[in-house]
Amino acid sequence: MVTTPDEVARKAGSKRKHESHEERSAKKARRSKEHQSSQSHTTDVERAYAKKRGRKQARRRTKHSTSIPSKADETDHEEQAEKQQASQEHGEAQPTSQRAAEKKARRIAERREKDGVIPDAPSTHVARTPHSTRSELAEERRPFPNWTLSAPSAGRFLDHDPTFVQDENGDEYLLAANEREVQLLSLESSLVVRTHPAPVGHLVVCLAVDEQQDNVVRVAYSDETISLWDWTIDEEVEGPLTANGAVRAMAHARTQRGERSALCYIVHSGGQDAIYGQQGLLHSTKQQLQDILVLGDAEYILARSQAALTIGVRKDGDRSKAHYTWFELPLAVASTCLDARLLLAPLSGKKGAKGRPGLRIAIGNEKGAIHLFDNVSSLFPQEGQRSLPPPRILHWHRDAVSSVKFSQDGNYLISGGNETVLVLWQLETGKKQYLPHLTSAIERVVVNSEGNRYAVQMGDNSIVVLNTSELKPVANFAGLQMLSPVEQSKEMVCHTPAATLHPQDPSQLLLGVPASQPKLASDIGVRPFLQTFDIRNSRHITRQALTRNNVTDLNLGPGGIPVLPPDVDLLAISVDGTWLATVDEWMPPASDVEHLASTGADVELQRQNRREVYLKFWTWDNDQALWTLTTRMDSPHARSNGDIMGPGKVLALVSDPSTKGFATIGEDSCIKLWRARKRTSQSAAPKGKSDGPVVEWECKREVQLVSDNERADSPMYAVKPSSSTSGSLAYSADGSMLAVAQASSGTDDIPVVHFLNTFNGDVVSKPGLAATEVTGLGCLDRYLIVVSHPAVYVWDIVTDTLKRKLKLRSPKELVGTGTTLLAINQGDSTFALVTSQLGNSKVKVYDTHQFKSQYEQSFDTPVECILADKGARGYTMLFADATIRTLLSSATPQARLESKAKTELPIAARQSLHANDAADGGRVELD
Amino acid sequence: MDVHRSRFVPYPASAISALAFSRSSDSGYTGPLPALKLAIGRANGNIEIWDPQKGLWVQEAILLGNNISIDALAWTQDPDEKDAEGHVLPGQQRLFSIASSAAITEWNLATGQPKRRSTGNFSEVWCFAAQPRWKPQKNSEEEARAQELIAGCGDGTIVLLSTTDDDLQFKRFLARVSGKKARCMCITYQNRDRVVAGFADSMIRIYDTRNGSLLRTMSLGVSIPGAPKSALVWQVKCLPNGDIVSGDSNGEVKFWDGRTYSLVQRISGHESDCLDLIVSSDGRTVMSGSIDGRMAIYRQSTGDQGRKSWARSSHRRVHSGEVKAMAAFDSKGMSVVVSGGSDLTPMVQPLREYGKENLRALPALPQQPPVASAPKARLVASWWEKSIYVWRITKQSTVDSVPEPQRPRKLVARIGLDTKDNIQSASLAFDGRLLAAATTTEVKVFQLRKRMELDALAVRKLAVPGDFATLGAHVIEFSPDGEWLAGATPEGEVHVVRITHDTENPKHLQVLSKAVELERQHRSVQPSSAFKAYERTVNRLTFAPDSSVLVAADRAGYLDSWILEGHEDPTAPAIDIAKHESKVGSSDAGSDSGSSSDSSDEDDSNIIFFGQHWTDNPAAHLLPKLDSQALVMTFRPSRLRQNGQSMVNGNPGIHSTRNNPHAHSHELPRGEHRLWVLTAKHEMFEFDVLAGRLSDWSRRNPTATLPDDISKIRDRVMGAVWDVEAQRQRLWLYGSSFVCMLNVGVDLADSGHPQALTKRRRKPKGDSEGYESDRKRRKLESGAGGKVASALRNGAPEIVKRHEEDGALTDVKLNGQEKLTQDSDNDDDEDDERMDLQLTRIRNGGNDSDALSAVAKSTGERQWWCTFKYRPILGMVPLEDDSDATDGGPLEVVLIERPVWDVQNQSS
Repeated sequence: MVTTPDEVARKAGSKRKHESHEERSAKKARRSKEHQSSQSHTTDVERAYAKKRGRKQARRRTKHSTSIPSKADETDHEEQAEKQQASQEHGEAQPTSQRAAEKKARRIAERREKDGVIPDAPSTHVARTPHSTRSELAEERRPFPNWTLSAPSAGRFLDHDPTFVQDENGDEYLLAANEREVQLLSLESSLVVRTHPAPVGHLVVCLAVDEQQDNVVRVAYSDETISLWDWTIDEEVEGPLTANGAVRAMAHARTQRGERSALCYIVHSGGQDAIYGQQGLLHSTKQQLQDILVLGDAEYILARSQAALTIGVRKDGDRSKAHYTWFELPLAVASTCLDARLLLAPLSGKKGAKGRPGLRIAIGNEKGAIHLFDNVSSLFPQEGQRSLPPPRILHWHRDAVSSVKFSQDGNYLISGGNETVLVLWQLETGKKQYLPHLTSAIERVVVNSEGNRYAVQMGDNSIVVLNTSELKPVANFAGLQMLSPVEQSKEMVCHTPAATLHPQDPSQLLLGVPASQPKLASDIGVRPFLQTFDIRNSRHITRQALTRNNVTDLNLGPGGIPVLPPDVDLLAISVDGTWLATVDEWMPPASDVEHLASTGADVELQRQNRREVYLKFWTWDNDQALWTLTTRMDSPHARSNGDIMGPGKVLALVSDPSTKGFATIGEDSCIKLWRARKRTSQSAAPKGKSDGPVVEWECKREVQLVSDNERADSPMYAVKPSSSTSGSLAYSADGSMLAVAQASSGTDDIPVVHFLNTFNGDVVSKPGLAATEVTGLGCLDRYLIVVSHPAVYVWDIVTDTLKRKLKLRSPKELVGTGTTLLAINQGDSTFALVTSQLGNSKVKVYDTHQFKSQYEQSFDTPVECILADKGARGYTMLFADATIRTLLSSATPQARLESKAKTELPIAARQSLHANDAADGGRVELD
Repeated sequence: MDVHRSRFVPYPASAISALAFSRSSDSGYTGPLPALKLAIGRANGNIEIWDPQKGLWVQEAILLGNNISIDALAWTQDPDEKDAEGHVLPGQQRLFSIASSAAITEWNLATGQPKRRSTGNFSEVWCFAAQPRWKPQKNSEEEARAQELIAGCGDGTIVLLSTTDDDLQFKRFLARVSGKKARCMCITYQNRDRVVAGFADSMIRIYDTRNGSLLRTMSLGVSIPGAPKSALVWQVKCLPNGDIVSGDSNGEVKFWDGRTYSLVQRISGHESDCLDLIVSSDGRTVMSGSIDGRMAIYRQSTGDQGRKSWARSSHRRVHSGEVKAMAAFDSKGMSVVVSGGSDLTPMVQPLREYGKENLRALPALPQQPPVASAPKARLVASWWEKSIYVWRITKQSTVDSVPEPQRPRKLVARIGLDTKDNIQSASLAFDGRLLAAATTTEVKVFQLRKRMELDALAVRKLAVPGDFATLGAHVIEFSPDGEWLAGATPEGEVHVVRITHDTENPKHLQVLSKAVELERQHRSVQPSSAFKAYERTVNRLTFAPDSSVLVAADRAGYLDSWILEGHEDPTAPAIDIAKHESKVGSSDAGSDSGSSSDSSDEDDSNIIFFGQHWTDNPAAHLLPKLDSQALVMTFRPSRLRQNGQSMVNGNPGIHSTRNNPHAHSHELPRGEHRLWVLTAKHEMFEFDVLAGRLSDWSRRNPTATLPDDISKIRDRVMGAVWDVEAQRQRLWLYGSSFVCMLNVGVDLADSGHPQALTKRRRKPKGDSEGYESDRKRRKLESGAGGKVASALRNGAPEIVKRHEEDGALTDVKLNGQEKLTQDSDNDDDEDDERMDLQLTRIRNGGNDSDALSAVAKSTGERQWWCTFKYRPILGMVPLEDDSDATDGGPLEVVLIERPVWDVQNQSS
């Protein structure tokens, strides 16, 4: 590595900075044994740090595209793990193992060469806080050598203010966190530069940057500890300190005279909330404190609960001891956010009368008003009457104010809420400026220390950084915007994420997402948007609307009822990746039809009569990099009960694996096959693109399934209109056969699986493939995998035999309503089953050789969705906390080839299969 | 009670166009404070005079206009004078108005007529202002000077007028701004010598009134994008420190430095035109009103480095139409802003306690109901402007039961008066045969007869004696027997005429050609009053049920009463004028009337009508001055019908003899004549008028016994209807928003002992809902609505909790205003006590205090009842069953409502 003069200078700078850090750690050393040991070879440590930092910075600047390991310690771990870790966490194209090994070797060589001996201080530190992912991986890998589970990626930003930090070059970064890790986000590249994961089994709760030396950030974890992370050198500089309870919020005081700044934090313990400072317990209260602000030389400490604002005012006298007088200001309307700033003392200060600086407070509340107390210092007079002038009321927001902040110069107030409008209040003149039409509800607004950038965290799990002068975006960080499962209200219909992987580029995840995450239980999560997310790099690619929506419009009806957009609940993409089919559904809110209905059940009926269902076909437009709508099928399926008008639900949508086509099944027990057709226009040329023919979609085949009862000549009274509540479709790998199963509510019929010949539309029905209702189907090679509740059946459809019955879990475990997800990977001939129950999930992977569980893993967070893709081996899992993990198999590709050969049955064989099926039709019984 | 809910009366309402308090603050007054008044000018030219009464808000008078909208109002006060004994006599308050013409009108508050118009040759006046009061300087022997008026005209001229010597004279032109848009929109005094005027060409100009020089021109500057290039300066006001505030048609409120005349701050206050501004007396609060009905409040705060700056604190939509005019009174006790606009209702908002007290809507309908009824004929009359409408109301039962139902009401007469002024008052006789109407200059009497062929009334005008007809009247009232008509002239005199059947045409009635003036007692008028003539104007008249006693009350709270001596003797001459001597004789012969009749010495004649003669009530001087003007004054109907009227034969008239040429009986009316009074402060009294003392009932039931639900009502009472039957004696009271019933046949309080009551009064802390605490609470308020519950307060908490060392929470009260308010109210408490003392004296004068509890046993009847169902109420008048059925039926009333939507439809 060539050292440029520039880098030398930088190294020198970092060295200087590190010296001050060393002094600090010397002070701290009394408390920490480990630090004593590290202090013993100060010089070594120092040198090592300096060099490493220099190198790292160089690497960051020169090789931006390559990965930077998140750990300071790069000691002996398995190379495999190293590679895995790097590639998964930092989202770069998966390097070949050779390249990685080379790189690794080079790196170690460099280090040896430059440092001589590797100091052991960092490694001791690692031993102290064993880091989750790696050790977890090591444990996981052992029993299943062919399978590797990646560390979680993506994730949801914490509901916590992101923090602006600057490195010594003046480059600005943003520190944000999700539950798993603290991330350093580069404003320059909109990329995650560095991460600091939480200890195993614990979550990041909050962070606070030391105002005095912003290279250090304090991170509080759910295990009631706080550690100190120097993000510039990626080092945990101070071990976990034990907080006195569950930390809720932290803040640093800005101190003068270069002192160590005081930390204040809120903990919750024993039914009480307490504020702790450097000196220990400062205050405890029954209020549920949420935010904390420390102002000035810890002159004021402010903490907010919904019902009151707690203000601590430091008593005059001995400055070294913190004695505060605490006031609680009751708030009539529940507060939602708080900001405060110090007012400078009058310039014409009277001799010696060095008064306390004034304090200006802005409180946003639930009803959308911001109360601005211009100066609350009249609350704390030395003697005499306490008074509080009434606040200014800034009321623009319709809903709760999510965030309010003073601009750095104090002339503006910046606020945001559900209206997707950033409001800039010019305090002097009362004028308002707006930045409207943001993509999603605003949740957090942060101003940087220079006052020239705002970071806006939004409800779609993204952070956008704006330039204050032009209000143009500088950087954008978007996470996976998957609908988070909140406490569900009645009207919420479907929760299985509508997600699929792009067949041409398996790293692209297409996902139906909401405009903003629902925050309250009363909010209804619907997903009118499509997000394309790069799984491998954990990066957001695009987002587009699939249905009408009113994110930036007034979305309240006259009665204050939110106007809801339709919900995209089914999504499929054609084999070649050029066509996307979506199904969206909308029903009017119950309050709109209440006047039409006499009973409660009738309301639901009235809503269903007014349901709107659309099947939409989209084509990929390369120029705009968007999906564009080609055909919209209104009401693709009818209602199950023929005499009721209105569109019926579409229960399943699958893509044909062989050609460009889709199949749907609706509640009317009808299977429809959809094909594209080139339009030949007789009349005027259609106003399409001139370069290609106009393509539109049509229903090529429509097959009405006959109910089992009717077929079996059962007496008429037994025939009742049953409405299907769920349906499953599965294409065989070559697309010649479509397996169909549907489940009806309230009937105890023996489940029937139908086999549809997609060429001629013949249907063969087979009852008895499963004991209870079928919730999922999959075709793998010659096998049909039938998912039903307690067990999964694997049928060999060539020989028409039950190959295997897989018990999901012991019946004891299956107490509640568990769900079972199925994913089939044609590539390596495996299928994965996920059984979720009571907040945890278990993944099992089977192959078609022995039907033995090849891989097994339990997770604490429920798996919402499991996906497999043709091109890649392994599976992608989406978790409820919006993290993604991939499960990769390193099995030899031979099996894959073999199985491939097997699936390609000759046409003749296929036909005989159908004939066989038809002949045996009614004979097959359940064992 | 049968209620005819009536909404058919199309009583016109008119928007508020101007508002003015007689002073903006108590500060700067060295001597006694003159009474505070609020003048409200309306688009129909009427001016209402309100007495804020420390938050009670009584409409005292309506000065009727002539349908030209009042554009602005201003009060001045003449300089104080000293009488021979060195007492300060406060200068009289004067009210001026402008109304889309080239003249400034001064009003005579007492008579309710324009007093004089300004002279001078200038164009239409758009705005005017009164000079601040002259304040005596230290070490200066300068003579006190009257306030000048400055007026801005449509052609850009500014005119100075002088009010010296109780006159209004053009003084000189101050300036003339030329230009097309040089209309002067608003004007105000910065100090006694400098005026600030805002023009339609978006300029504010400062003039020196001493030499007329233009000191500075300030431009509003560039308009906001999209607005017209030049803005109108709708209002300018000056802060106490001289700084200037302006409100313009862009909705911006600008603050200008008062010394350098430069812009300090501009605040976008409203999204539409800012029409008016007010300034608090400490200069730290400004309020603005806009065309969209919103009012915003601005407060001064200290920001970074001690820099003072203004900021809009909050706003609120107060009016449904625009906010046309605002006025503020800001002093230690009371601190309110009154605003008005096209939605008719004056809104009172707290100024100092903004956000901590509720705002309050004052009634938009007149305090004295413009409704009368002839219960026996089932007629209801209502009047406005120059017409009177008379309806006949069908009995409810006949509407329902008769196969061909009658229409529930019918307009049976519409009388348009050919008078110069609008009708002040009208009265219907009990039997519906007579109708009298009065303006401030004329009185007209009509006879109403049923026309056989038509279901309508024939109206015949009666000749009225000259002086009675031409003096006009504020109030006019028929006696219950329809024989007497009393009128209170604008000058404060009370005149009575006798009505009788025409001897030639028995079907016709006639007014006897002599009117008698009843002398009012001389009272030592409170020397501190700045409204001398106004306060002594009679505004209530009432006859006893047997027509033998007449009581008049004036605005100061004095009661005058007269009695009718003798018995009606049809054989006696209709008019017999007795000379003065006979008066002396009569006083000798009379029982004890001579002692008090010294007041009528200079009267040289007594007029005797059919042997009857009005004379002073011998006990009149015993009736105390009320604490405030009487709002309801009504005689309690006697339980037994007096049959004195039918005793003509049993009581032959005393015939003239030589010795006694004008013989008439001096017998006084017998029986109890109990006058039930409710004052503007809702103090309740019942006087035995002839005995000159409180009645037994009143002694047992002082005001404190009024139920809380009634004493809590903020709207003032407008009138009363009696419901008297053999078993019950109920009084139905109503105001513009409420109707309530008091069972005055029994005692209101369970513990009827005055001792108990006094105890209850003295007890500093009664039950929290008690009368006393209610009073206290109201005293702590600043004059608008009640306190806002702290939970509803918009971010201004009342208390803050403080954590003590031991972890305990203590409440710390914020914004300690209470002390101040209590201090300022002390003098007023003394007043009350004096009043109480006086009352206690007459209370104890009664001798039958032992019989107190005997009557009080209630029979499980409701003592009182209250409803807010009907609103707003224009009036409630009784009806009687026209069938021959004797009493026993329920009380029947017509309740005339003016629903808001109706009023607004009409006005738009």
